[in-house]
Amino acid sequence: MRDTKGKVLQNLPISPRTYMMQVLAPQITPYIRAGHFVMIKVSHTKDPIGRRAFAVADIKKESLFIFYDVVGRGTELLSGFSQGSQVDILGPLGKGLFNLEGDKHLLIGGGIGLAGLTLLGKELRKAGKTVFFLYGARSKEHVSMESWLKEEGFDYLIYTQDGSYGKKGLITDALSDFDSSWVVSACGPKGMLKALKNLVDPSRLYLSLESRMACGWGVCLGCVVKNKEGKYVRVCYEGPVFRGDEVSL
Amino acid sequence: MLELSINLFGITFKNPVWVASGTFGYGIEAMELYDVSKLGAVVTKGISLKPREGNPPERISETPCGMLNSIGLQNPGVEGFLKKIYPKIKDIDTHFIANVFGETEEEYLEVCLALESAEKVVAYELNVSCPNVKKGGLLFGHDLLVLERLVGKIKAKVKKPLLVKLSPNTGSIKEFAKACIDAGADGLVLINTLLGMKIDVRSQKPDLSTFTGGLSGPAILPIAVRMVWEVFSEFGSAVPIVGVGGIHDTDSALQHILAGASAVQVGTANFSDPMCPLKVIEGIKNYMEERKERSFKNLIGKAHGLKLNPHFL
Ligand SMILES: Cc1cc2nc3c(=O)[nH]c(=O)nc-3n(C[C@H](O)[C@H](O)[C@H](O)COP(=O)(O)OP(=O)(O)OC[C@H]3O[C@@H](n4cnc5c(N)ncnc54)[C@H](O)[C@@H]3O)c2cc1C
Ligand SMILES: Cc1cc2nc3c(=O)[nH]c(=O)nc-3n(C[C@H](O)[C@H](O)[C@H](O)COP(=O)(O)O)c2cc1C
Ligand code: FES
Repeated sequence: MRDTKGKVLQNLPISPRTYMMQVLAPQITPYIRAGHFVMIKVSHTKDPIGRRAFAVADIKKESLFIFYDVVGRGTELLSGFSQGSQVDILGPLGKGLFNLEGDKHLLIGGGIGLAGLTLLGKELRKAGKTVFFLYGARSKEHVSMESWLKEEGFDYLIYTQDGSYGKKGLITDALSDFDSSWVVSACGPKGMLKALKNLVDPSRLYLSLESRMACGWGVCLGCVVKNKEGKYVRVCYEGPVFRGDEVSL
Repeated sequence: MLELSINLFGITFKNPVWVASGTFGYGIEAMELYDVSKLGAVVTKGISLKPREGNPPERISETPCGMLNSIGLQNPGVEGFLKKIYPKIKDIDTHFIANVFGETEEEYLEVCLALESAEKVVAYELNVSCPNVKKGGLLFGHDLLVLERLVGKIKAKVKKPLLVKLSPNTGSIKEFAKACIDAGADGLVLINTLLGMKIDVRSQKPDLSTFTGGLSGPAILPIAVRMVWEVFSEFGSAVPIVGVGGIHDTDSALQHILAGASAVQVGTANFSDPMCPLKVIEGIKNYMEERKERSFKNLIGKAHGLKLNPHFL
């Protein structure tokens, strides 16, 4: 974990609600692994007071990439950062990361949750593993990261709930095509993660969780979820990735 | 040479900048980021007799220039602290102050007694914003007699200095300060969080699982400064005051100090700006240099412009 200043190299809309930000942050990029996230200051004033959490979606040389949906005040402010400006980044954060063992990996992203899996896809491929992405979204407008998958040459399948793009339905509809030899890693809305917990053997399921965070580095106890013993653990510290049988959602 | 160290209740602190309870864990996570021994002191997350699981989520909520929390005092209990955490902080070269709470007087006392032989813990800070189960849940810090009894009882039994952290959610902060001083408190810590609430207009429901929570951050700075000022005016010569509430930079820390705080605690600011305490230490040094002020002590309560004579000067 370091508190560092990065330089914004790009901050562009890639779809009506999604932005991609590239930040030059050589002090931390060498230490970032799949599953890590960063806390970014969205304002230089005290309002809003908190940083915002984002998965590191990709790393190229000394740059990190985040993909984010503009959903509220913080992300709105972030979308206004111009090229060349400085941005405060705290990271990498999280001690609970993805599992890289096993030969075949199914990566399931719901909406912008896909951004939590893309670095994993690259790491797995580098290690010679088979990787397949399932990318689910509400409708066509919410499918914002397909071009990344395409450019990186990954195999994938897209589902939209309303059928406006890709296959119609939920990504869970596709699960029957993947037998128990696949390790499943997922990131996305809680409903999707809950459904996966019921459908996939939780001991080969890895979930990257989101929760409200004040600090992101383990000291406020604001971000907790219950573990299997019924004790609260920190998403930002023990997580953000938990094995399916380790947490109750 | 600038003199930033300060002796309070018989203990020398290397500087007057501490970190506030519940905003820094036990100092372990921060070690990854910087040398925690640079801090004047670390105040631990609240410690109780038995482990506490805390409140269900949502536990935090952002508000204008601040935040609400209802963590529910999650902690591993004093035994868990001594077994699992204490060994990890033993070699950090600064003082630890144990923030202590209980649901009965006996619980408070037992926690303090269990910590008496833990060398690193140099003092206790009583969090009295805790419901007294024997009094139908009335907070210890919200009843003058209950508070005075609690402080007196513990003071009579412990060897280490006893600080009391006052709740701002009472009528007159001065009366509660007096009750603590009369009962023998060695120092006062002002202030804990203010009771607040946020409603999510989308769901039309309270935003926190417990409905209400404690407000902290820059939003409460003026209230904290006013309370430090009031208590210092009246009792500045009786006990040292530790200022906490809204400190997020050198200016806000100095406001507390000039109002009468002998030391300050950085709280909520640690969350988004973990380096804040170190910046404040540097900032105070620079301020003293600019003003050719050699000793930090001369700044304490200076805004009063009175010739108060605190016992430690
Ligand atoms: C570990 C982690 C990784 C994340 N990665 C990404 C990512 O790669 N891309 C992306 O678009 N989003 C990601 N998010 C979600 C992102 O942090 C929120 O969308 C963002 O905080 C919203 O802020 P806002 O001010 O725009 O929204 P508002 O709704 O105005 O925020 C209000 C408050 O709620 C919090 N909040 C709101 N939504 C979320 C959420 N989903 N998760 C956590 N806190 C929330 C905010 O931080 C803020 O404190 C991640 C969250 C976590 C915890
Ligand atoms: C998340 C959180 C947890 C806290 N936990 C405790 C606690 O365990 N005991 C306590 O006495 N005060 C606790 N506090 C109060 C702080 O120590 C401090 O008094 C208060 O937040 C005001 O200071 P600030 O505005 O600098 O944060 C907590 C505050 C926050 C924000
Ligand atoms: S966000 Fe503060 S402990 Fe996790």
